[in-house]
Amino acid sequence: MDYLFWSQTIIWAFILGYLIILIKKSEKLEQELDILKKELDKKDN
Amino acid sequence: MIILLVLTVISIIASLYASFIYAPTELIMGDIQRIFYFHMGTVWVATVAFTIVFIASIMFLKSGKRKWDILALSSAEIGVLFITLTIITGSIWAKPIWGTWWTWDPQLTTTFILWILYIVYLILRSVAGDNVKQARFAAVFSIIAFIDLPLVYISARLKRGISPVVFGPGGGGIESKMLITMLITFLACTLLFIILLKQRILYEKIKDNLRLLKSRTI
Amino acid sequence: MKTIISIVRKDFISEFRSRDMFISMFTFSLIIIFVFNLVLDLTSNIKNIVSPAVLWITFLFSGSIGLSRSYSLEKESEAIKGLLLAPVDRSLIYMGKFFSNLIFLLIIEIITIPIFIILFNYDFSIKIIEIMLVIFLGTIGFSTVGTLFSAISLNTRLREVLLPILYFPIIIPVLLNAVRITTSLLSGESLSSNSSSLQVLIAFDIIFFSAGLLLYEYVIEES
Repeated sequence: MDYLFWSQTIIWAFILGYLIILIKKSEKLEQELDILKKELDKKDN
Repeated sequence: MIILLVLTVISIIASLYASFIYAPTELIMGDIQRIFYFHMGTVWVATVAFTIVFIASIMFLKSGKRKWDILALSSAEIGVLFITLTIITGSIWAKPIWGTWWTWDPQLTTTFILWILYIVYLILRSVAGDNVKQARFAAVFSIIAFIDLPLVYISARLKRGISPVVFGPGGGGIESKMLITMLITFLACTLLFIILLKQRILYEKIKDNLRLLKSRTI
Repeated sequence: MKTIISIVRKDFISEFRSRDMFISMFTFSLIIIFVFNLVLDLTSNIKNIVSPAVLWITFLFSGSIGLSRSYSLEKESEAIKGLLLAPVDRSLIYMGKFFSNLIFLLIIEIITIPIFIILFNYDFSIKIIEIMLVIFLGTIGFSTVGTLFSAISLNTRLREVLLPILYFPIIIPVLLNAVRITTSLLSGESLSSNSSSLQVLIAFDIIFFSAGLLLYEYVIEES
């Protein structure tokens, strides 16, 4: 029963991990986006 | 978004508590049955996910709008994740109950084919990349796949199968504590699905914006 | 109607001139059957269980080569562009390709059957008409999905390699039911005892033919 509990908890943890990785990747991309935007603004001005 | 995340985590913890402590032990199967709450949760989410892929694919073909394509591929990716979990948890449950990790009964056969079909969809979609024409191919494929599944199920049933009926502490109806546990778990899985889907869609949109912006700086 | 016939006829003429695809398919089908027959140790117990499956797997594999056939010729893609320019209903093109694939597959299968009967030691008194019917229905199933998917696979980087990956999982209901009915017929049972399998097979054909008609335009159109 212990093993069941831990295996299920680990599965939940993995899924949350996937979520967190997604969030991190999105934030990184968003930063890139901001940098590019600033460069474009500079060029236009 | 944060609220959603908090709610999700709370419901996951609640589900774990309910599955392992609150719910009574099943008479016939014993403790192994406890993983079944989670298993049902993942089946439910996978079904919703693939229905979304189907509808989104149709809308994508009709309207040609990228947002439907994004929805379809995001939902498919998460759906594959949940189906994989369904197969794993189902297998864990099956070994002590049926004595085997796997069998070709109608339910399992259809689940396996479902898994394969949507992995193929993801392969097809990723081979396409930015190419809109090839993205449409993936949509066509997912529509065919969705229609195909009931036929697979019926065909597999025409060869006998072992399917379980797994509710209740002693056969018949489902006891109320188990029902509550099931509902909590469903909620947890659904919330998890929603938040994963939103995040995945967001990721794809940011990628799109990035690509757009990069093409302008050239 | 005329359009469909003209497409079918065009496919046949171009195939007739270069018969290599036809010969390859037939040879492949022979090879598969021989290899299975060689490798499987067939006592009469398992023969009835195994050989219908062998037959259908042979049809499946040799058929999947032939399905790519109708698009892969260079002349063919020019011909398709020409067709697309004309205001032809896309579903007519699908029907034309579907029929030419169907006839093509059936020819190969009909030639394969006597070889199968001989190699696997069956009498020629078996219910050949009923078996033909099942093969016909199953091949329709192959052709509906195959025509649609080969248009897809040939337009991707992977080309012919992609077709089996797309096509085999989808075609499973056809295989399951066709093998089941064939097994039953070869054991001497009647066709009517397999009515539910037959219904599923026919349903598959109707559903996927309709789906092919509706979806073909999204697959063949230049972007």
